[in-house]
Amino acid sequence: MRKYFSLTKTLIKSGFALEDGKGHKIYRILLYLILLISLLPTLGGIYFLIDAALPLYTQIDQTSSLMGSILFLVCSTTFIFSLFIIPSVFYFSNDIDLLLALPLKGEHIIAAKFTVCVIYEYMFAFALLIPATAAYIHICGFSLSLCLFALLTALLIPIFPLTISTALTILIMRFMPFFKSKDHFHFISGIILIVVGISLSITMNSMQAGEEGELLNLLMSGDNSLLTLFMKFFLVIPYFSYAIVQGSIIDFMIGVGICIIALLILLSVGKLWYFKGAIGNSEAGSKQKKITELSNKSMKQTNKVISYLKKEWRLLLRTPAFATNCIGSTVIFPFLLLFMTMFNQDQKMMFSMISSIQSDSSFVYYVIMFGLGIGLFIGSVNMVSATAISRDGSNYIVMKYLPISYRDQIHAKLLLGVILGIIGNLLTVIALMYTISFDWHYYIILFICMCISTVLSNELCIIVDMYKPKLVWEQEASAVKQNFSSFFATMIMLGLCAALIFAAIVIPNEYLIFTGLFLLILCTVASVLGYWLCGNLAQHAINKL
Amino acid sequence: MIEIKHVTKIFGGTKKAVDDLSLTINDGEIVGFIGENGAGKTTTIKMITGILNPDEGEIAINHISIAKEPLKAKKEIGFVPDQADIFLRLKGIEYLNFMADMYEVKQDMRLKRIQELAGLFSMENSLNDKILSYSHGMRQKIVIMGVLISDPRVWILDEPLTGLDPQSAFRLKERMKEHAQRGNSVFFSTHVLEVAEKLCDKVAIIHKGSILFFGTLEALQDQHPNCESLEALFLEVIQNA
Repeated sequence: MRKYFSLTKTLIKSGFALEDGKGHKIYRILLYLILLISLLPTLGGIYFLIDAALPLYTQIDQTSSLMGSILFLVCSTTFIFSLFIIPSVFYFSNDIDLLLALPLKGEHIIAAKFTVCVIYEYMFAFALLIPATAAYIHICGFSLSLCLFALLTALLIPIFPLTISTALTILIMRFMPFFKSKDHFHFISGIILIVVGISLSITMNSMQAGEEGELLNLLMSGDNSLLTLFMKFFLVIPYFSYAIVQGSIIDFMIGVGICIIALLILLSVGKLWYFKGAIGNSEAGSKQKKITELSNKSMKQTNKVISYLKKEWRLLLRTPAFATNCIGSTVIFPFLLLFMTMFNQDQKMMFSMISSIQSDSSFVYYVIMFGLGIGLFIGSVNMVSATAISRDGSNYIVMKYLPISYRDQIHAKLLLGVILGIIGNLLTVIALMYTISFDWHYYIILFICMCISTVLSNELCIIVDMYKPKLVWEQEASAVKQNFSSFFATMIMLGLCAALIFAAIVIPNEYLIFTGLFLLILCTVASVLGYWLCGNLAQHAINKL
Repeated sequence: MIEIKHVTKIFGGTKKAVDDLSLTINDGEIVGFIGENGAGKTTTIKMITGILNPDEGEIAINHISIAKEPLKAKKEIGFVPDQADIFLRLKGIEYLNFMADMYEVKQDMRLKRIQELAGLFSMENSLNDKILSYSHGMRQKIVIMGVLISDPRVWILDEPLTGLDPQSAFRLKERMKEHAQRGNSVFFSTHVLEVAEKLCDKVAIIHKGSILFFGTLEALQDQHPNCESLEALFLEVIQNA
């Protein structure tokens, strides 16, 4: 047991930091505080949603069902995200070769790695269960059992979906050799996630229209009948729901029992197949093809900035964690927009309404402000510039000894972000052409405005990453997913995007002309200045790394 | 030529990693940089190559100040870092092309050099593969090839022989000798005292950030006549520090 605790502690310490730990302790506390504050609106939203829905559910005797749906959300989110986390922690982490050589029992490694995954998933569990419990206290009144079981459930609920995904991963890695290539796995799983995400969105939209009657029947039959639906997916949900809402110790014990049985099954599966699948996983194949003749074309001398840009593009494209997060998100947004409108009647109506007001003289200013807002969003959401330095990791020293100025290096990195942002803008405009029928010149204005603010957004994001990059990471995915400053920069851009769109909606027409033009000029000037600023700050920022 | 004058580097406000260090590596010389782990070898090398800025002192490469004219100075240097895991998802040939672009190597010249270096390090069959698939030694070779492709005048190598197979290590040592004979400078750190003994014109022994000895091996032996090997000499110098 001591070995298990020691290993778990080490694994958590080595992989669970949002930044590189170089900063002062106060600074780190401040960072976590900002992160918490930024989550408050989301937590508040969840609270108000449950607070509003709970009286209705209570009226039709479905109080536990509402808790069941919250737990279902926790379990399904945990399950989907664990499909990415489990392979990284169990198979593709750098520590695997070392751990396999240590005198540790298989159960110790599996249990320690599993615990790390459970801790990773606590964020979702607590983010949903804290506001939910608060809403239940507000509506149903305070009870100690409610708080206690809610806390214990938050600690236990990720276990069941994680045992399923871990067992699934162990079986896949043992019996499907194609998935043993880290790159293949990440690429394919990335595509699967996109497909699952889009399918879920479509299914949920179509469910609203098609199965409303069936769902209503289940709801109206009372006695928390909805819970039977969730049980089909995750066995523990009804038991933990009853434990929280009705304070049932027996149900809680049954829930715990199911988790323990699931864990024991997982350990047995792990003992049989984990090591056979994990050994030799860090090796990569090579073709060993002899270079017989080097062509003049492939050896062509290229401008330094272009060559640097090509290097950045190749690394981004060939690193699955970067490709799925950065390039994937560039492509997903326009497709989501398209799918949303294809399957959602309400949105179709909204878009046709927008099309009908384009004759309004002030419409062009709406287009400008929306364009600037969406451009900020698309420019930052792919995180290409927001992680431009962080993605280098320990290779950042190469930046410092190459005979190319820091200014040129930053401009090359920025150019990559801008190019991908513009591709995202183009795809979005094409998706919009399918969904809203405008005069063609509105699309052009929209595209130009989007591009201007995309440039600005990339410049701001790269400046943040220049000063606070996350250079110490074990897995490539951490450079993008567990990068606080990049997350912070992206959040600022999203906030600005929301502010612009909100302003476009609330500002009266007579001021809209001035505001639209002013913001367009401001963004244009700021992007030109931003380009200059990025180059000038590069020397100072990179010198300090 | 590398001139290091009174260089000091302090980390965390108090810890002196390098303390008032002065060295001159003349043209035509191979100088070995020897010291225990954490003695300040890599910090010194990082300052020479412009990766770190010294808190005090000056460094010049072929009379060009690395602080005042960094790009010009960096073009004079070929640097092999101590960790060879660089741009792992590029193919070997792409990495060499990238380095050639950075050092502005002309097209006909890079073709000739890549072919020559691939033969020298037995890498003809691997250049089309991603560096990720290379063994540690092959990664070390591709980084060395990336440096040699621009034929820089000053070679600075941090533990260059680690992981190389005997044949490649021999060939690299021969290249180092040839490079110095052509009037260029080679400065490299090593833990293998035998290599320093056989290869270097001079050695610099660093301990806790300060140079304890800089000169020829003969001069070192003269100072410590009782020691028979470089290993014994090194240990005595360190113990007397």
